[in-house]
Amino acid sequence: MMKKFTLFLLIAALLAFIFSFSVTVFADYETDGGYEEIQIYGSESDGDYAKNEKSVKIFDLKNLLISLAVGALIGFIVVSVMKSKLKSVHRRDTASNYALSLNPVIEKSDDTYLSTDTYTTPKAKPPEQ
Amino acid sequence: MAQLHEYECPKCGGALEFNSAIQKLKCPYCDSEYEISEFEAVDSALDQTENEQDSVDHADGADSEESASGLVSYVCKSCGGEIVGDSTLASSACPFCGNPVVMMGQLSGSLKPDYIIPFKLDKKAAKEALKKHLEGKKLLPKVFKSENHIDEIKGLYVPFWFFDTDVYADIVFKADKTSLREDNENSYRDVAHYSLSRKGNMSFENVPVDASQAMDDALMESIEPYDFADAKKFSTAYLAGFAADKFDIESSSCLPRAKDRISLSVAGAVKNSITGYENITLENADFEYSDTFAKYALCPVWLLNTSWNNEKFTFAMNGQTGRFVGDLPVDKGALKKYFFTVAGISALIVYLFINFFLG
Repeated sequence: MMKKFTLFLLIAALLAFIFSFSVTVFADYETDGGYEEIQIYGSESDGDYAKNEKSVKIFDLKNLLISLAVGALIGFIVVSVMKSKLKSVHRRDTASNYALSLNPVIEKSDDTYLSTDTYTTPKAKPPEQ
Repeated sequence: MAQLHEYECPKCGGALEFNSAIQKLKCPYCDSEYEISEFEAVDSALDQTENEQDSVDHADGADSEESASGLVSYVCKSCGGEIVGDSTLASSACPFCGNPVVMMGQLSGSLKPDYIIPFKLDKKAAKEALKKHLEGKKLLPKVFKSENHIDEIKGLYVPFWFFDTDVYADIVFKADKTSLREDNENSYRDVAHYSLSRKGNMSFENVPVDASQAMDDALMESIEPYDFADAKKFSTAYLAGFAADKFDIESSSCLPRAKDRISLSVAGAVKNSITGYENITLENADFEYSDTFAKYALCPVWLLNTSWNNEKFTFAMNGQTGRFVGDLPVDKGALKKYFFTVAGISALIVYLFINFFLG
C-alpha cells in the first residue's frame, strides 16, 4: 500500500512539474498572435532567442515547500477530525440539561466603572501637491 | 426475609424476566405476561430497616473466605448452584441454570432505591447501536467491524444519586466597552473597563452522579441524560433478567461532583445574561446551595465489552434513550495512509494553484 502511495506521490510531483512549466511559459510570454512566437527556455537561458528578458521558473522550491506545508496542515486537520470521531467518552462539564430554567433569576446587578485605555492611530495624511 | 428471590411464573413455574418492549414481566416458557404491580407483595419486606438473616442463603463453608476477598456467594433456589458476586451485586443470573435472581438483602432498608428507570431498549437494540457506532469511522481497525468480536453484552442497572438543589450565586465579572472617535489627525479607540456584579439564583433537578465505584464515571456521564419523568417507584420485579449493583459511594461523596457541574452551568448562564459588554471574564464566584435533596435510583445501561490487541474496550448504551458511547482504537496504518493521501493531494492542488494563479 505504501509503495503504491509513494508511486502516486512521485507521479503527482511529476505532473505538478510538467503542468506548472507549460503554464508558466504561456503565462509569461507575450506572443504576437502566432505559435511561431512561442519559445520555451529554462531559467538558465541566456535569452538569445527571447523577445523579452522574463525568466521562467521551471521548478520553484519555495512554492513546493509552501505547498507541502499547507498540504501537511490540511492532512493533519482532516486526520484529527477523523480521529476525534473515535472518541466519544468524556466527562460532562456542566449540568445545564437539568436546570429548571436556562435563565437565572438575577436579583441584583451592579456595574462599576474602573478605567479607560485609549489606543491612538494617526490618520494617513493626504499627499502634498 | 429471603436473601435470594426468583420471580416464578404462577402458571408454569418458569423464571420470569422483565420485558422492556411491553414493560411487563414475561415468562419465556409459556409467554404469560404480568404487570409489575402484581408482584408488589414481594417488595414489602424491603422497607425493613436492617438486613436481616444476612447469611441465610449464603453458601455453607465458602461464605467467610469469599467475604474476606470482597466476594459473596449465594445458593440458587432452582438448581442449587453457587452464585458468586462482589459485595455490591444486587441482581444477576445463576451461571448454571440461567434463572434470574434478585439479592433482596442488597436492596432493603436504607439500601432500597427510591426509584428505578426501567429498560426501554433490549439487547438487539444495543447490538444495532454498536453496528451504527462503528459505521463511517475510517480510522477504525477492520477487525472491529466483525460482530463476532463482541465478548459480552450485559444489561445492568447502575446505581445513581440524583440531586435537586437551588443555587444562589454571587459572581463578579470583568468586562469592556469599546467606543471609537476621531479628530483631524488621529483615530481613537477607547476601551472602558468595568467590574460587573451579579447576584441571582437557579434551580436544578435530577442532576445524576453514578454511585458505583466499579463504573467508569466518564462512561456514565457520556450516556446522559436520563429522562427522570420515566422513573418508577422501585420494585425488584424490574430487575428480573438484568444485573444490578447497589451503591457503594454515599450521596455525600457524590454531591461535590454535582456541585462542580452546577456551578459551571450557573456561571455560564449568568454570563450569558449580561448584554452590552464585551470580553466578559469571570473574576470571582461564590455559590450557596439550599434545599439540596438526593434521590437514589437505578438506571438502565447496556454494557458491551470487546477486546483487540490485548486491550479491552467497553461501550455503554443508555438503556432508556439509546445514546451509545465508547472509545475506539485507531488503526495507525490507516491513519498514515489518510494523512499522506490528503496531504499529498492538497499539496498538489496548492502547488498548481500557486503556479497557475499567483506565479
